[in-house]
Amino acid sequence: MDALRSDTGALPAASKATDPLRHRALRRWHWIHTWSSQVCTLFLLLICLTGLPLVFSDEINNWLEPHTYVSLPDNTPRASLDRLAETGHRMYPGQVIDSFFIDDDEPQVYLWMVPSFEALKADPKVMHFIRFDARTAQVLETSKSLEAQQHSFMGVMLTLHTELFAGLPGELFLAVMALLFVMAIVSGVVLYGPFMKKIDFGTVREGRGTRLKWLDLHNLLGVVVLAWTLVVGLTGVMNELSVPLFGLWEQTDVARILSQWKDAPNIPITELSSPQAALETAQHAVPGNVVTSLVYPRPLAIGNSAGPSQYLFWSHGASHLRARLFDPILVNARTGQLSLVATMPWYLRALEVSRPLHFGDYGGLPLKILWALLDVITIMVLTSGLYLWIARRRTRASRLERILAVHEAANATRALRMPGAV
Amino acid sequence: MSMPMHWRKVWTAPGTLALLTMTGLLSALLGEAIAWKAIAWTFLAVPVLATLWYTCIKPTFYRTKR
Repeated sequence: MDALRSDTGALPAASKATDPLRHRALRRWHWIHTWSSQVCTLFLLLICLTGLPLVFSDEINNWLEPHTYVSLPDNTPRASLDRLAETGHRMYPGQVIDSFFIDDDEPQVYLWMVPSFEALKADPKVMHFIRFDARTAQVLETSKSLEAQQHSFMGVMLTLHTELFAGLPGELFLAVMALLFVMAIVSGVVLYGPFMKKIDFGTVREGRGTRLKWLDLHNLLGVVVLAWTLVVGLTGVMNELSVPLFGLWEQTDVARILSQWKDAPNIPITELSSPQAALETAQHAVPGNVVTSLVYPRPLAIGNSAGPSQYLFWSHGASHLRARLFDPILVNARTGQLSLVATMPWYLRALEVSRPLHFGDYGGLPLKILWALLDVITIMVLTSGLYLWIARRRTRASRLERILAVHEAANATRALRMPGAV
Repeated sequence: MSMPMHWRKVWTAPGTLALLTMTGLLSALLGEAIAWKAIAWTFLAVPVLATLWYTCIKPTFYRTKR
C-alpha cells in the first residue's frame, strides 16, 4: 500500500538533490507497490480468510463427518475392484462407472458413477459416489449430489478460495490477483531498503501517531513473512493455472498418445476386462509407485480420460519426496494388457510440486498451525496496508481543507484592510 | 570487498528470516522422518516468534526501560 513513505509522506533516503535518477526509480517502484497492492488487497483478504479453514480441511471434515472403520489386522487384503463394481451396478442399475478412487491414507474406496457419459458431458454435477470399506467391500456411504457437496461449509470455502463461484474465469482472475500480490511483495522489498536505512529492524515508533505506528508494523510484518508469502503467492498462481496447464498437456502430449486409439470403437460394459486385473497390471508397470485411481474408458469428447478403449490409472511415488508426483498408466480395457506408462511434462511437475507448498499439508498438524499463524500475519499486513492507504487519503483531504481555510481567512483579512472597507 | 554498512544493517535480519523460512518450507517436503518435520516446525516458527516478539512482548515489557 502506501507503506513505504516516511512519516513526512516523502520517499526516504535517496534525495532528489543527490541522486535524481534513483529518486525517480524509487517513485516508480512506489507507484507499482501502491497500485498492485490496492487492486488485489480485498481479494487477497478473501483468499487468506477462506484459506484459514482450508488449512485444517482434513480435521474439519473428520470432525463434521467422522469416518469409522471395523478393526481388522493391518495385513488384511483389499477387496477386489470387480466386487465393488458389481455392487455399484446392482445399486444403480442402468448407470455406468466413471472411476474408482483408492485411498492410500484410509481403508476406503470411492466408486464414482454417472447415469450415462452423455449426461455427464451435459452436466458434470450428475456424478455421485459410493464409499466402500476397502477390505470388507461393505458400503459405508452413498453421496449427495455434487451440487449439494459444493454448498457444504468447506465446499463454499474452497469454491470462494479458488474460483469465486465463477468457474475458469474466476480461477484466471484470481491468478492475476495472485500475480499482483507477488508484484506488491517484490516492489515492497525494493522500497524496504531505503526506508530502513535510518531505523533499526523491528522498530515500531509508538507515541508519534497511529499512522506511523501502523506503517512500521506493516513494514515489519511484511518483511518477516516475506519468504512465506512469496512462496504461497507464486504457488497460488500455479494452482490457479492448473486447468489451462492440463488443457495444454491434453492438446499436445495426450492428443499425440491417444491418436493411435482415436478410431477405436466404444467397448460395451459387458466386454470390459476385469478392473482388478487391470489394476494389478498397472501396479506391476510402476513398481515404485502406488496406484490410487482408475478412470473408465469413455468417448474422447468428454475429456479427463484415455479414450474409448483404455483404462487410465493414476499412480504416485511411494517415497515422501515423490508422493505428490503423479504418473498416468494406460491399460487396454478389452484385453487387460499394458498399453503404456506416460511421463508428465515439466510444467505439470512444477504444478505438482507447488501444491504442497501452497497447502502446507506435508508436515503434520504443527506445520498446519504454523501455516495458519503465518496466514493471520499476512491478513494483518493486508489490513494495515488498507488502513494506511485510507489514512493517507484522509490526511491529504484534511490538509487540503486546512490550506483552504487559511487561504479564505487571509482573503477575508485582506478585504477588511483594503481602503474603503467597512 | 565488504558490504556497505547500511546494507548489512537493513538486510541481515530479513535475509536470515527468509533463509530460515525457506529451509523450513523445504525440509518437510524432502523427508518423512520426524527430524525433517521438526526442522520445518522450528524454522517456520521463527517468523511467528519474531512477530510475537516485536509486536507484543517487546512493546509490553521493554517500554518502561527505554
